[in-house]
Amino acid sequence: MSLQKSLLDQDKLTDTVLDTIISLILAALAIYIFVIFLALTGNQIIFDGFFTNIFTVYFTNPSRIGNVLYWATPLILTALAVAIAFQAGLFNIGGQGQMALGGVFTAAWGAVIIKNLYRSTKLTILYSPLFLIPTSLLIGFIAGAIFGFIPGWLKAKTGAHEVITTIMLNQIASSVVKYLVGSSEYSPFISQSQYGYSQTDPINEGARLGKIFNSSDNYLHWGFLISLLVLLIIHIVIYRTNFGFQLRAVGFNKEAAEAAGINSDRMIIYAMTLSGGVAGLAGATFIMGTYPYKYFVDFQGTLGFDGIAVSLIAQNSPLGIAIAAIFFGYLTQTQTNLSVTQIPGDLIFVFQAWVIIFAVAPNLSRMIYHRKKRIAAEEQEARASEESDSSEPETKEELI
Amino acid sequence: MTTVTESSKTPLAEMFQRVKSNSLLRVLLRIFIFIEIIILILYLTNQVFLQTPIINPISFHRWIWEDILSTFTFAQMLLAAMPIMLTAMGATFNERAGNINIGLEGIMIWGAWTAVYVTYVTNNPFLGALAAVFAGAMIGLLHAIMTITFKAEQIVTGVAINLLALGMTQVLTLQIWGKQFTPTVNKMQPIKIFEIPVLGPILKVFSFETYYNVPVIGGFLKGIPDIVGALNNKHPLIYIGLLLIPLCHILLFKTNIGLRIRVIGEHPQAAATAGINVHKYQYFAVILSGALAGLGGAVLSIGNNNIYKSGIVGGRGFIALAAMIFGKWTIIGSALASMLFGYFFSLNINLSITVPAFSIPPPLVNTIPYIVAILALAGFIGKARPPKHIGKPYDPTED
Amino acid sequence: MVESTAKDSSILRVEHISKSFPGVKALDNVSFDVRPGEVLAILGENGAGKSTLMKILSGLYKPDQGEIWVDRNWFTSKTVGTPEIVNIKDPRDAMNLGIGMVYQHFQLVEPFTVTENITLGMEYTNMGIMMNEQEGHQRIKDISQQFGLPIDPKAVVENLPVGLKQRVEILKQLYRNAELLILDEPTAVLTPSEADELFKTIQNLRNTGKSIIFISHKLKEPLKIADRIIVLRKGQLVGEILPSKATEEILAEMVVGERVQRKLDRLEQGEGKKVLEISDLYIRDDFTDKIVVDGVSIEVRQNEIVGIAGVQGNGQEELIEGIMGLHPVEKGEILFYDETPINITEKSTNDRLKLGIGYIPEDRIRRGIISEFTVAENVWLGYYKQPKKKLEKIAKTQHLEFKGDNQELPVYERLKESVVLPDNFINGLTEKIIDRYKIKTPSAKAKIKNLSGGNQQKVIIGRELSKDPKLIIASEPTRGVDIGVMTQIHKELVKRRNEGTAILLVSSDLDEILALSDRLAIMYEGKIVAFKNLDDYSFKAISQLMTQGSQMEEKQ
Repeated sequence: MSLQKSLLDQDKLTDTVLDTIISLILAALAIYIFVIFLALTGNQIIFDGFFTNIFTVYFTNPSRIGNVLYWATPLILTALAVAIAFQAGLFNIGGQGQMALGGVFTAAWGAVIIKNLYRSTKLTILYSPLFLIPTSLLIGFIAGAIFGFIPGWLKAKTGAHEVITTIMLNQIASSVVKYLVGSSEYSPFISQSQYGYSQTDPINEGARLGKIFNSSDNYLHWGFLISLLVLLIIHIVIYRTNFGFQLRAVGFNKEAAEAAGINSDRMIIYAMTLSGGVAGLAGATFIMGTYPYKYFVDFQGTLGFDGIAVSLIAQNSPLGIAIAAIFFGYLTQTQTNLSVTQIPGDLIFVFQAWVIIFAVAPNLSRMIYHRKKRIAAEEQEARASEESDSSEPETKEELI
Repeated sequence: MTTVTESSKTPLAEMFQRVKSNSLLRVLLRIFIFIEIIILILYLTNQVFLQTPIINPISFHRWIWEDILSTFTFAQMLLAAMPIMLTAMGATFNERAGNINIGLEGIMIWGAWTAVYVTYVTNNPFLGALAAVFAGAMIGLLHAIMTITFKAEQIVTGVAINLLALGMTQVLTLQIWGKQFTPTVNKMQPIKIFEIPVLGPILKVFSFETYYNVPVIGGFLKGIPDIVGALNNKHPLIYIGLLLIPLCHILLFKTNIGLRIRVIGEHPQAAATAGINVHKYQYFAVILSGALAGLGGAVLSIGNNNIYKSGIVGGRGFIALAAMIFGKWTIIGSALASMLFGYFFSLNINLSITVPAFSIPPPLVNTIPYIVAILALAGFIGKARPPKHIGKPYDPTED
Repeated sequence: MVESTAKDSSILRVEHISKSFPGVKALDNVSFDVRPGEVLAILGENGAGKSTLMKILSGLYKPDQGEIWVDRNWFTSKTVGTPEIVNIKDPRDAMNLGIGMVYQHFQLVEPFTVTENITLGMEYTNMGIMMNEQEGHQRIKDISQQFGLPIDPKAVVENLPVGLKQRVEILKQLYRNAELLILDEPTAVLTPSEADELFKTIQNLRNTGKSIIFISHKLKEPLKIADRIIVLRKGQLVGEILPSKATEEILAEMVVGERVQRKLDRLEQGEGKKVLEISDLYIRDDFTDKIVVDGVSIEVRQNEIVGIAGVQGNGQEELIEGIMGLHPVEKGEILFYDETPINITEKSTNDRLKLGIGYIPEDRIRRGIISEFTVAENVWLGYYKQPKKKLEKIAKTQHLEFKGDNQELPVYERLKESVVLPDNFINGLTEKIIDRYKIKTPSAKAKIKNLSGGNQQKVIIGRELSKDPKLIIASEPTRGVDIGVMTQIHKELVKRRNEGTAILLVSSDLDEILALSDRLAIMYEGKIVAFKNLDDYSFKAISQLMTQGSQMEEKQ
């Protein structure tokens, strides 16, 4: 009963959905303005891709919708990763690296390690989906979790700024995967085929997530449902359990949480580890659900970074994440439709930047509105309790 | 503090005591120990990958030290460090003023790209560098407006700037040249400073190379880096960068502008009640840091090379932040720390030359600068405290 | 002292000033004037309007009605002229006029020198930007001699004791040629001997012709140094009186408006069972590396309130944080007596709380509440780690719903209950607390940041006391709270004490400590310098111990 109640809780739901929609509209506006600008400078193709195709193509062609959801699958997870860390007051910018590691280790497990295990034990269960799918997901989770644990531990024990450590780890992760699959000289998991470099072999059939629709241009796979499930579980954990309660307490006011007996170090580490793991899952589900079911370097494109933008638009709320991920899925799909020579892949970065800047905008206006209310309340409080230390301004949660 | 009452201490203990109390010696000792640990790790890792034969650890140790102390390495260190150094010095300014700008990476990218574009159009790399400085300052201004006037979350703005830079440079490259990478342009021509009249011969006196043929002393001099000598024949941005070190130091620590900036980062309200316009100085610091980072980016594209391509900055903007922290938010410290990181960036090439059958896979060696950066951030290389009021927008009580 | 005759000799006049905030009239038609060379005391309790008035004078607020008149001639050339209306838009305007504010919370930059702090914004430079340190130091030396306020210009501020830091603040204003100094609760952080130094300083300054507004809520101080006293109550000017005609009783009546019983009943104390024992505790401060708790031994028993008196900053805060596990302890032992003594020195904060300790932290905003959480969530902070059995017990006694580990429910329900937060229980408990402590809030689900400070404090106290703790650690429990709430809180504490709870109370409000304590300890520079029954002290002894750490021989 309480779960439904919280979903229907008027305050929370309408507030965040409204905010998400405002952010989306502003973001969409920003993107369209940019696209129009590009069109004016002569790039008709992008214009076509975003404007003319949208109505004719998207609402008449089911596989296009399927593909939007296909892209939304990893975005939900990477955005969720950012949101989890944010609840604890932390910024996880390491989604790229965590997703990459999740992907490469899932592929290594499914393509190489399982094969070797079978060779030595001859157990057929090793090849069954009942075994392979959960373990592949688990391995992906663990790989990402490790690169979430490291900055979390560093932040808790040494105060090292998690924004920079996660970005450094992105670079390290990108080197690690190059080591793992980059060259036949030293890479343990590199593909054995003669054309394969910077990639693994395809993973075993038992580890693959099948497509939902049986059509060649609809990529949607069961990973989508997995990501929705994870979204739901994490939402419950964060808002409806003691663990989530403690996490949010630490995120809002670490010192008060400690005075109430919460072990803030441990919460920070848990939050970052969980966050990294979810990003790792993004990589795992992507590899497991996308033809040709193998890992190749930079498969994740910009999905890790996209997660940051998605989470920001969604005001870090789970329902918002689902909506925003679909919007970004649409952006990504459109971009993919246009060929590489006509539009650089990095265009999505520009979109994200606009999105972030404009995502801050509703925050800004809300901030201003709430600031007026807050100033009034503060002054009232000042009047009620003058000359006391409590007239110190509230400490805003520092993410540093 | 312990008071020494007896004088009957062993000479070793006395030396230990002296080292403990002199902080410069402490820093050098720490760096020395740090290098030794790195060598050990390199040796063991190399051995793991090499398996057989087992390299003599003493020889390995000697090779690395010879390489570290070679003039060639010093020159490389300088070239690799310069972009990081410029950005780190800039970051010092804006963090001292209480603002965090992780968008410096993005500004370096912009700077690198702008330098190439303007050089392409004007055929003059100097104008390119100038344009990079200007572009960097402009983006710094954007960050300043967002975070100081609109009080947006500083981290978020930085992330947005990075993404904007990454994306726009690619988009523009495609629009302008129709390809994924820029064409080659004229890079900066190196200057043979030893051949400048008057100044040249004076500098030559300080260069060790002049004395290499002197018996005994020459042999000794060959084993240590010829710092002044390494300065010869480098492109102008290097000299500008080196000149900027004392200039920035003086600006931050010897002028009243610098004093006010530092006060603002510690206690902006105190500055405000003293009648200082807090926002004005913050704007200045942030724009300055943008300009320096832009220059740093230009060094990467038209200083060392002659092209811009994606990934050329590769996280150096963030390394600069680590260098700043390592340098304890001072100019000289940031510069020295940047040199250290410069060394780590050139490790891959160096090691494959100096160590026979060097077997650590290159991608893994590439992780070293980033691992060191993380260690610096974690304070494993000495702790320090940032300016007290950093990261929070200054909000005067009345709007 | 300049003869105060007609109002025309005033250098500053406040006329019919009013200022309102939503729902509250902070200042209501206040008028007064300041004369040359005088010390004017503005007296009033928390919430009377003193700080609003001061913020208006220093340019931080704009009055809704009324004007401020300033005799500019006096401020610029020390000659009497005619006052004119001024508009003080910001602190800079006030500074330019010659009004110098010395805030209660110092505006000093700790890592910098005295000279740098004082000359900030008007530094001594060559060519306009290069710092000239020598000249700066010299000038500061000159000023400090001129006004009889010795200070070492090269000293780094963070190494200075509080009294000297305040001196730097005063010098800052004098450096800028302030003719009118406004001191906001200046003795709040000073030891009694430092306060005496300050009073001497104020008199010296007055004798050189400066005027000083001295804002305070302590009744004794204006009697000591003021030339005139004005009293504010609930935003209105209640009256003006000369110290020669005033006594503490008269002032108290003006300030409060009605007699408030100040001494609360105390039980005759027997020796109850020990609950908390601290042996030889040493705590070191990380930043300064100094020992701030220096071998403290103290104990608290059932049925008693042990008060720790002392000027703020003598180690009380660190001691409390050490007891609660929020600050590492260097040496010593903390024992909690349950059935048997338990050594909690190394235990986590949570373990300590679970043993049955209620903690009311000194800093409500930083340690006490989570602003973004609702009232109910803040209450849950006291309960989230309690074992299910305890929650069941509470549910029973309070007639609340708590499912717990009920075997009769289906598996799905049981699973849910063991993982998910018990909303009904939390809300129910919060409602009870709101009722019991008369907390003013729209609902249990309101965000706590919308409540006033006093009500926030009540939430904390309600939360901690409803746990039925064996030991209560209360640090500044009535800070920033109006007198009605203060009385309510005091009554609650006394009630608990009577029912058997042991209470350790730390407060810088001497009146509070004296009203509540059964046994009194005095803390000075990290040490407990005295610990005995309250009645065994003389008031003189208490002030001496607080000031100097030891009692002086009584002269006959």
